Amino acid sequence: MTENLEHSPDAHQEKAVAEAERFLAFTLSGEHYGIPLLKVKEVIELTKITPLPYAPNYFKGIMNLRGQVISVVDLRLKFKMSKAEIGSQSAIVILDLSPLCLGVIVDSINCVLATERSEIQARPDVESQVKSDYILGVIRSNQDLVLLLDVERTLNAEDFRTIESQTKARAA
Amino acid sequence: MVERDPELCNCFLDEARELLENVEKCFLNLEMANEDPSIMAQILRVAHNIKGSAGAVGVHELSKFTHKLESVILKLKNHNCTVQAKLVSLLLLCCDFLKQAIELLRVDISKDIQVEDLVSRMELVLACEMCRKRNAMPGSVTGTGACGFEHGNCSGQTSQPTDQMEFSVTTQQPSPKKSIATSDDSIRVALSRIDKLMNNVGELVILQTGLSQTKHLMQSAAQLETVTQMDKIIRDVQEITLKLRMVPLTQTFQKMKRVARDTSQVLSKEVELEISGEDIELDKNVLEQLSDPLVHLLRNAVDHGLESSEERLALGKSPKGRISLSAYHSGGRVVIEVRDDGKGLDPKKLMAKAVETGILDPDTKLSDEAAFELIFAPGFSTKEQVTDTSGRGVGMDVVKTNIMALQGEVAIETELGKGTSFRISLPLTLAIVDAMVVRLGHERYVVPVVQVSETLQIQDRHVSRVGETGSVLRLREENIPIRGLGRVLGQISSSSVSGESIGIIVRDKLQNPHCILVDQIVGQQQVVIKQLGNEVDWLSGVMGAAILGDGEAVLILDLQELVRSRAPKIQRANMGRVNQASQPQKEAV
Repeated sequence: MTENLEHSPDAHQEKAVAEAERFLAFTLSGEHYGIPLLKVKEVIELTKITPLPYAPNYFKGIMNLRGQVISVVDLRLKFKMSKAEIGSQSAIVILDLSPLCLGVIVDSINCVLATERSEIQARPDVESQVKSDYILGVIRSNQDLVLLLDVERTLNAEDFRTIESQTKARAA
Repeated sequence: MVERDPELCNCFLDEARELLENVEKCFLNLEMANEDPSIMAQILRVAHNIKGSAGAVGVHELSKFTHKLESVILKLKNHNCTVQAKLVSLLLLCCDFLKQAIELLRVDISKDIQVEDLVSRMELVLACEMCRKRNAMPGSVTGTGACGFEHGNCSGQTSQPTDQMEFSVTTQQPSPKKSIATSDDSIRVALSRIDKLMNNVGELVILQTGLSQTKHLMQSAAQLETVTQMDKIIRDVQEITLKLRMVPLTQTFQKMKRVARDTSQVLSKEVELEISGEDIELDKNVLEQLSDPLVHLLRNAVDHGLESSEERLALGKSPKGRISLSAYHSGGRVVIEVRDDGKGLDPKKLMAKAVETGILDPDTKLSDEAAFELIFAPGFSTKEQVTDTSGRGVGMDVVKTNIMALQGEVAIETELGKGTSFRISLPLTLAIVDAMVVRLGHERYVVPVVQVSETLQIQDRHVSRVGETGSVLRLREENIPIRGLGRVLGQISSSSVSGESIGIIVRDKLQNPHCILVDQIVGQQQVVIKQLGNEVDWLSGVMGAAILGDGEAVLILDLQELVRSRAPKIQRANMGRVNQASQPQKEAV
């Protein structure tokens, strides 16, 4: 597919629109991350979150989203970064990972990035705070490198269970 | 094959389904109130309606079928045939067939419907010469004609058919008239929409509460007036929304009439079914799961409960067995009772049978009450032979399991020779629970009131220390272990017993008391149970979440589950499904 594009500039233009992907860019502990915009249901400001017993530390608890009860995960803690300072910029991104509906806490929301699929590069083999399995690839935005998160892999229910039972085993 | 318009068809199918529910009731009434012209007229109307609509949407087989049915009913109406159990059975069969056909069409709209068998049986009825010339030859009026039915004569000169099973239904409030009036004024709504509506209304109430709290800041009287008015209306809306899920028992009970009738016919027993409390309403979810247990209980009542007519006569009872199916409110719950006046349960026989089938150890001594509970054991049956109606020992097990899943209870009351009654007590709804809001530290939790047997201020002089950390509350005759809620919930730091603490006494399934300490009881209110997502299905001891008046989401604790062991075990049980949270599990000894 991509070879064809290089021959005709017109086709390239069209394809670019078709293949364009948009990401919601946010900051976590100074690093830039992106998640596919189609997975984002909405972004809300930080609200009261009720903790759950026996939950792993990154599992912040549950919140009320207009009558719906939603679990909230602190991405910083999930990625074993230092504990988040809750600032005025902090926000909860509500993700629709059907059947799961989850909120994640991030430091700040930056922008929506539109990019072509071809611009997504393989993740460079550098040290990041985030486990490399969770990274789909990287894109360049201005001077920054944005790491694209594989949200489904990062936040799957199975993961919560295993980690939870480990915490419990340690506590016992 | 005719092209069928799916829109039109769906409309027809919905309509037909409702009509059929009504018509079944009519057929049963027919048997009871012989040849009431108004009932006949109603059946005719329904048949005609279905015929017309079926023709219009292109389901010609059905329209042909209902045409025949119409002819049969017309014949009945014109007194060319008497109403008999057998004929009613045929009519009910037709009704069943129509229902099946409707369901088939719902799945596959272009399906062909085979009607041959029943049509030919109806034709027999219609074609039967003896029916037609009923008065021509008086001598031959009785006896069985070609149609397989006995021919009675309206002028009253013929004898009663002998092989006719008697079955009658009495309803305390006469309802046929009411049902005619209410057949059309309802609509079907997807449950998911109602849930969404409930979410939004809940949120509306919270916002309104916020607004009401700022009333004192409002300057203009008009504004104040508006807010006050809005407050009332929103409460109204909330109440109505909560009631949307509630459905009367009428249709379920209707089905039971049919079950009792069919079972009594199969077993050749005379049964009189008495029904009351049809208009009591239950949550749709509860109602759906109630049907199976009720069917089992009724069949059991007819089959095991009631003696045969001869036995009854010999015992000096009326030959007709009586079964009553009643529903009533009791203490915030709905009780449904199935009572028969049959032979009752014999604890000795039950125990002997249980030993024989290997369910019970021969040396075990059981109280009578415990012996009655044996009938709920899977695989237990007192019948020697497996029949269509009973004998596999599955039924009562199903009853118990289904009712438990609905957070309900089944109680047996029986007297040898006098009869048995099964009392099912159910919560009105699974969606709302009466709850106590408690505080521990900064967090609030919700506890279902039904689980709390009492609450009290803990006084130091009533507390004895046991070991290093344990403490026991001496309350009246009992020594009750005390545990902080924090510790139960796995928090490392938990407040120690002090005069400030409030104790909540919870009794577990074995009635053992436990005392759980909280900092404060905030209040009591009804909360809507919101289910938690799959991502937290590892969480045990939690029934779900509730959204409190200030919009905060808090956990609804299942204290009974939490006190089962000191540190709640990790359970893979899906806590998202609230029903299962309270299902009893084997006590760890």
